[in-house]
Amino acid sequence: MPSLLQIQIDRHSGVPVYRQLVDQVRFQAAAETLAVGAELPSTRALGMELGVNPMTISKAYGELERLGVIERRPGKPNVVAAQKSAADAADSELRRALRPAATAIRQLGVPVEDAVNLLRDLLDSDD
Amino acid sequence: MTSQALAHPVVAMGLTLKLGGGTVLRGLDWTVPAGTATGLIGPNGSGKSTLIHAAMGLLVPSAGQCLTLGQEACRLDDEHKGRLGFVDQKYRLLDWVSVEQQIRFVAKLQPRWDSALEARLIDAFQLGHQTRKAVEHLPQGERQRLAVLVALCHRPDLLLLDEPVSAQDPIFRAVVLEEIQRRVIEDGATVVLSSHVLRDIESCVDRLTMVENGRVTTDEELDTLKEQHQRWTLVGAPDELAFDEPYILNVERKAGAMTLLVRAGEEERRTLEKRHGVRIEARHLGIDALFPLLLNAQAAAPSDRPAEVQR
Repeated sequence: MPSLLQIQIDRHSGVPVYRQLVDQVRFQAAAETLAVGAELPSTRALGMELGVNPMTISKAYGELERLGVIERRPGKPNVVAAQKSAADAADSELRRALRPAATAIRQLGVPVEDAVNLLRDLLDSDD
Repeated sequence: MTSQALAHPVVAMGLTLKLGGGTVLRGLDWTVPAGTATGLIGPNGSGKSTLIHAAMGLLVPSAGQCLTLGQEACRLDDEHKGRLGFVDQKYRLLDWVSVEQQIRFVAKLQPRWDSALEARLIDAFQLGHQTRKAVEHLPQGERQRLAVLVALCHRPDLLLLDEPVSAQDPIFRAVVLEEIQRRVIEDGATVVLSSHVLRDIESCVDRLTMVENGRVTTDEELDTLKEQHQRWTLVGAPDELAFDEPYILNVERKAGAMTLLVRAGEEERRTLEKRHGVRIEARHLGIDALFPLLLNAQAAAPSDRPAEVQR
């Protein structure tokens, strides 16, 4: 089965091979040339196609999973995950950081208005 | 017991080898991870060939040991020998027989011989028109390809190849390396191949082992080496700026721009930017720039080598 991935590996480049793979799959997923749910070739199949050690492909898939670009499913082909936009990612990061603050505000019984003003003060201050 | 799951098909421990009155390997330690293709590089005379020969079991250690497929290399039993494929610079072939007879001779000795692979390699290596020719009358390039063919067709678990593409033009070099790499990708074989020209073998290796003066001085994944080494360009740096960071391997000043070759990453870059109030652009290093850097880094390191004692 010819793979869906349009990947070019330059062995002579100073960019690590696994990094080239990660960047190109990431780009294609973001550009949606790789649709959500599309199956990725096995490490061996892609290794044969690109002339790259399957262990290197596996390292790249691991990194892509960590980045949320793909989903690894044991015993089944990896698939392209629903992509989070950068804004979404930042949003959820911020939500996680602010949640303890929200809890503290509620527990201390601080009026919402005062809490928002305090946050504004913090954003304006330099440190 | 099968050693299929052996994590390190080659292990050298304190391997010392004296040859013709000189010490070639000096207490060398080395492990080769299974399923990888390792490029064995280093200056001429550094001990690459001797190390490969020791792993093939052709040389007996003066001290220390070398384990190949889990057995002492110079005492491999037949079962283990059958799982090993090798090419050395003499391409040990039978000179007086024809190419066809040479292939049949090895095929008969190897229970795991793959005839389909043989047919494919005769084709890929363009040896088909030479099968009746005597091995001794083959041109160097064809002789070397024949040696690689007879080393690959039993699908060995471990391939030890000393300069296997030295006699090939760029086109055949690519063809031969691709076939060697196929054994890694399709069979999970472990490959060690030496060359004094990194560029000749980079297309198929995942790891680099640098041998200098009888010792292993660098042993790392190629991707990791690429990630660790960067070229930094400093913008707006005053001429008198001096550095004492140990990771800076080389400083070059040219027409107002300063270029540093470093073994460092993002964290070091940010720290240096803050410390000197400069902006640094980081780039990856091409492989041609990497090789001399690995050599220089070792030459620059303080020597821990005891002076050679003449007896």
